[in-house]
Amino acid sequence: MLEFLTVPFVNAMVLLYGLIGENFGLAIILFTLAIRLLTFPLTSKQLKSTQAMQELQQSKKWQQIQKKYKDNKEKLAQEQMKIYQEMGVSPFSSCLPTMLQFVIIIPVFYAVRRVLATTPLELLQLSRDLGIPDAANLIPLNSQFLWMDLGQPERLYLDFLPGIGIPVLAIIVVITTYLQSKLMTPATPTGDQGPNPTAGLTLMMPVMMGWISYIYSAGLALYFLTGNLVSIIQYAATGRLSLSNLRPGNGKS
Amino acid sequence: MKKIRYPTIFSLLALSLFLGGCGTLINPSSWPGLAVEGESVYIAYGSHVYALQLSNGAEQWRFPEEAENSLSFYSAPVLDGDGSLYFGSYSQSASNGNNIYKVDQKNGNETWHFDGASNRYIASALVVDGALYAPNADSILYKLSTDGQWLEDWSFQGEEPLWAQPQIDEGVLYLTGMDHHVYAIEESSGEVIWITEDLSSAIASTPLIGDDGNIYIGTFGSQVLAIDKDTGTTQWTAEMDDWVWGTPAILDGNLYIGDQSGTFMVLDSESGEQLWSLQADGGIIGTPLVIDERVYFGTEAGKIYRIETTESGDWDFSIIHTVEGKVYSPLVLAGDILLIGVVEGESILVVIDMDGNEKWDFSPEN
Repeated sequence: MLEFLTVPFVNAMVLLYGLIGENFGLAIILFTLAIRLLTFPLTSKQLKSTQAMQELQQSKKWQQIQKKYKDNKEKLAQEQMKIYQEMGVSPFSSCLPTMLQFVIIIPVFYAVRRVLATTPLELLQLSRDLGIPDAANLIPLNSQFLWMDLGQPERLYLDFLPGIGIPVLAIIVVITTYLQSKLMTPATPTGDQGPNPTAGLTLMMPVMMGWISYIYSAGLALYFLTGNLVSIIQYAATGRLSLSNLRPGNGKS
Repeated sequence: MKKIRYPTIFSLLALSLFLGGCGTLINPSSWPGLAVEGESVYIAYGSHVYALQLSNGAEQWRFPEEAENSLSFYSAPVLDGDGSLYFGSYSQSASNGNNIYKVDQKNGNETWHFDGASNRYIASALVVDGALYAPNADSILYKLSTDGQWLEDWSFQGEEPLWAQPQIDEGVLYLTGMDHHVYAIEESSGEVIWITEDLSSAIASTPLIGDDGNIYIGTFGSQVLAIDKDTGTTQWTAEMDDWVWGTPAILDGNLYIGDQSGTFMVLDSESGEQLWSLQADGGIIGTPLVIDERVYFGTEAGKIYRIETTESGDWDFSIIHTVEGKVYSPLVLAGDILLIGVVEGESILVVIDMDGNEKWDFSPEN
C-alpha cells in the first residue's frame, strides 16, 4: 500500500537510525520533523485558508445571504460560490493539507512496522526495501526507547499496579491532539454564540489518534506525539495560537 | 466550514478502519516448519501444528484443536525419539503466547507448556540427553528439563534475538545470534567457551559442524564463513550476492549454499573458493538438502532444483518440480519422498518423489 512512499520512508528511518547512533526513537522524532518541515508550506497555506474562511463567514455579506436564501439552498450555494470567487477563497484549500497528513500516516504506519521487523517474513520484506549501503549491518534495529519497545503497543507497568499496563503514550497523544485542535482553531469573537462546526472534529480527532496509538506500535504513537508538538510549536512561532480557546467557555467544544 | 468537516471525518473513519483491518488480519509471518518420523509428518504453520499420515497426507490431529486468538506456530517441531514432540509458538502481539509445548506424538495431547519467555520462538529447540535448549527472540537460550522445568542455574543470554537452532558437538553447543556473534557454550555448565568477533551482520543460520574442525554459517552480510570450532576465529570468508538465511550443506568437501537473490554457489570448504554458481529463478532461503550425492533446494519462485556433478566433475542442475507458491522452508526427506513447505500457495505442504512427481498435498480444512 502506497509503496512509493513506504519504501523511501523505510530507508529514511534506517538512514537516520544509523546516523544518530542507532536510536530508533530519535530516528522517528527526526523523521517526523523532516516530514513536517517538508509539508510546512502546505500547513501554512491551510492556516491562512482557515482564517480567511472564518473571516468570510463572519462578514455581513455572508450573513445576509444566509438569511436571504435560507429557503433556497441551490441559490444559496450559488451565492456562496460567488463570494468565494470575489474573496479569492477556496473552500477546499484548507482541507487538502489535512488530507495529505492522512495519506502520509498510512505509509508511516507501514514503514514503522517494516523497519522493526520481528518475524522472518517481515525481515525478508525489509531486506528488499533497503537501498542503503551496508544497511544489513544495522539489522536488527534496536526498538527500545526510554521505557518503550517501539515495535509494540506501549504500556507502563508500575510495581503498585500489578498486571495493569498504563498506555502513557496513547494518553499523551490524546491530550496533545486535543490541545493542537483547540489551539489551532481561530478564536471565536466574543459575543458570537453561533454553532461551532469544528467542535465534533476537535473531540473526534484525539479519540481516533488515541485509539490508534493504544492498539498499534509505540513507534506510530511517537510519530503522532512528535507531529502534534511540532504543529503547536509551528503555530506558536507564527503567533497564531488561539490560547483563548483553552479558557473555560470558549471554543464551545 | 461544514464542507470541510465531512470529508475530514470520513477520512478519519476510513483511516481507522484501514489500519484496524490491517492489524487484525493474521497474515503468515514465517514459513512452515517441518519434521517427520515413522509414518507421520508434522508441520507447524499458522494457527496449528498438524500431524499427517505420511502415505497420503490424511490429518491425524492438530494442535490446538481450535485456533487460539493470534497464537502462531512456525518453528519446525523436534522429536525426542521417545514419543514426544516439542515446538514453540508466538503471538502477533509478542507480549504473551510465547510458549514451548510438549505434546504426545500420537494424539497431540499437551503434556506441558513453558511460558517463561518474553518474546517469540522463531527457531526450533534442540533436544539433548533429557534437556531442551530453546532459543528465543528475547535473546535467552532457555534450558528446560523434559518435564518442563526451566533450569535457571544454566543460563545464556545474547545481546539480540536468537533466531537459529543451536547445534551440539562433543559437549559444546554452537549458537548464532542476531547480535552478529557466534557462541560456543559448554553444554554441561552454560559457560561460554568463546565468542567470535563482531561479524558485522546478523545471523539466522544454524551452524553446520564440519568434520574438518570448522563450523560454517551464512550471514545477512551476504557472506559464508568458516570458523574454527575450537577458537572461534574466522578461517575464511566467501562473498555471496545477497543475504544468506540458510546453512551451507556439505558434500564431498564442498559447501552448497544459496542466497536471497537466487545465487547458488558451490564453495571449497577448505578455502571458501567459489567452484561453481547458478542463478536460480527466485530467492533461496532454506538450507539445501543432500541426498545420495545430489543437492536439492527450493526457491521463492516455487521451483525445486536438483544439483548433481557431471562425469567431467563439473556441476549441472535440473528443475524437478514447480509448486504454486513460494518455497522458503528447507526441504525434508522422508524415506524416498521430499516434503516441501509452501507459503502463499493453495497448499501448505506438497510431497513429491525423487523424480519430482507429486504424490499428495495438504491444505488445512477449517
